[in-house]
Amino acid sequence: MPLEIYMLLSVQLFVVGLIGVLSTQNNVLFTLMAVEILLLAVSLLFTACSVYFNDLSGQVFVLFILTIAAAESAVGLAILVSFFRLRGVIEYPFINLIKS
Amino acid sequence: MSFRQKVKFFFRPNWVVSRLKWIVVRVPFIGVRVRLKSYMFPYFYLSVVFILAFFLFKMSDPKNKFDLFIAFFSILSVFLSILTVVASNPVYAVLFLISLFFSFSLILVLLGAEFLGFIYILVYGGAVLVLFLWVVMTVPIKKNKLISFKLSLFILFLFGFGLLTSLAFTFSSGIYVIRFTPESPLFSTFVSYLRQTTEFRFFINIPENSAFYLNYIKLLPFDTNGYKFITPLRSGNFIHDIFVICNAPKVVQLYPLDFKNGFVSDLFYIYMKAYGGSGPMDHAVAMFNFYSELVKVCKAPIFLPASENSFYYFLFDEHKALLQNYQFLPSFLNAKNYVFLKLPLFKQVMVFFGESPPLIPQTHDWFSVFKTNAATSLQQIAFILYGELGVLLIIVGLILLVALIGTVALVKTRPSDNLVSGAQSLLKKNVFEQELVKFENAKGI
Repeated sequence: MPLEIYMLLSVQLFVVGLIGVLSTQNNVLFTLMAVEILLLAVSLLFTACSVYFNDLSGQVFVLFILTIAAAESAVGLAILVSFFRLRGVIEYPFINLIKS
Repeated sequence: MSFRQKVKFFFRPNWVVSRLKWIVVRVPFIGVRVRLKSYMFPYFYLSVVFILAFFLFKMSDPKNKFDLFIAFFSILSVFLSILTVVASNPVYAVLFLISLFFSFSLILVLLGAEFLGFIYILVYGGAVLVLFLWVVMTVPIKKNKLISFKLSLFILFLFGFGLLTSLAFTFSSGIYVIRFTPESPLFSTFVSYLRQTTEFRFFINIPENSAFYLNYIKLLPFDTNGYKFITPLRSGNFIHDIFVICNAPKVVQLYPLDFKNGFVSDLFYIYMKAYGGSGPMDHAVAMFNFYSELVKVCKAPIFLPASENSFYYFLFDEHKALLQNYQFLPSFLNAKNYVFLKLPLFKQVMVFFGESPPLIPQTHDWFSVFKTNAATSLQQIAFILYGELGVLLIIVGLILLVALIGTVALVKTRPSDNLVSGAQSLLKKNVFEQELVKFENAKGI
């Protein structure tokens, strides 16, 4: 399988994630999931290039990306939960009420 | 809307805007008597998936069994990502996301990065997505509403344009195929062209008990067992880098490395051609230079971890060589007597000099991924992670620690008394709305 296929695939996933970020109207959780898809696409590109060019530091960077993504999703969900406990709603129109 | 109203609407005062709107929005769907809604938006995107599937199955190598699986799982992952984005129920979305991560990790395993694949299953399937599911099930979340159809169509056009341009770039990246042997008149022009433009790399397989190995591998400052080394050999303008790969001892002896047996003599031949060009050159001087370069190389090696499935085997056989790497090759190309140039994207040159039987048999063992290089790749990843990128590892660990503490702190904060708590506000929604109105009044909206 040539490398271009993986690049195409990662572009595809990235585009889907961007559409997911932009096209959710009211739900914060969907945005977080779309961000996960974006990071997935980037890590796929890193991994494919590292395998094809025999440079394993790409895979190590994918590990870093994975760590950052896990931290990001954890903090985002924590903010979401705390906002829910504060207001009882999690939706974009009310998200500016996070400052009490 | 009657006909007169339609005509009135069409010829209204700001007619440029209206007509542009009509052309952009209506013309692609003339004759389609369906009300377009936002839930139809994935169906437009599925066409792109079909294009991708076509390219995937066209470019996959029929000899390699993994390729079909990679194609299947990549299409599946794109499909699942679309489902994740457009799903209205958040529980379904999270489940789609979990299956997306599973298929993605299978792609990684088939690629040869099995450690990363397992880590993905562990971290995402085990931790992150369970967290998502927990949030979905504890917090009452309304169904997802996508934005209006026209806006989504606009976004789709935008990214479709980007996708098409990227497609054009990747598939027009130039695969030039030139028929080429060392005796052919093309050789000198090819050499001069390469001298000016590109970086040229030889990948040579050196067995354990060859003369070269016995003489020079001792000079390496580290243990060679179980690792593969690639050392650059700087020699002139033409051959920028010669990479010498010393394989693990399990590799069969293929070519003994001495001048009589054709292996080094071929290298030397190309070296002479590159150095001397058309003019005459003293054989002894050239040989001396060549040997000195080799010795120089062995004193300053570069460690480069390599995996089995992405090697270039560049083996010489009576002024003919075979580059035995089918990964970059489309299956429709017959890899005999060809120069395979792939310049604009990565500046890589692949050379096929002549016909030769494949010396290293291509095995299609189903579990070869797990047998061969799992442990070594893990070792090498650890080598990089704790070696040159150790500082980054520490930074990432600190970020994780900060995220952990921040998460706990965020969740443990109690809402202050003057605010309505979540459960109460759910019960008394009017109170919340009144508060909202008050807040907006205070803000001045």
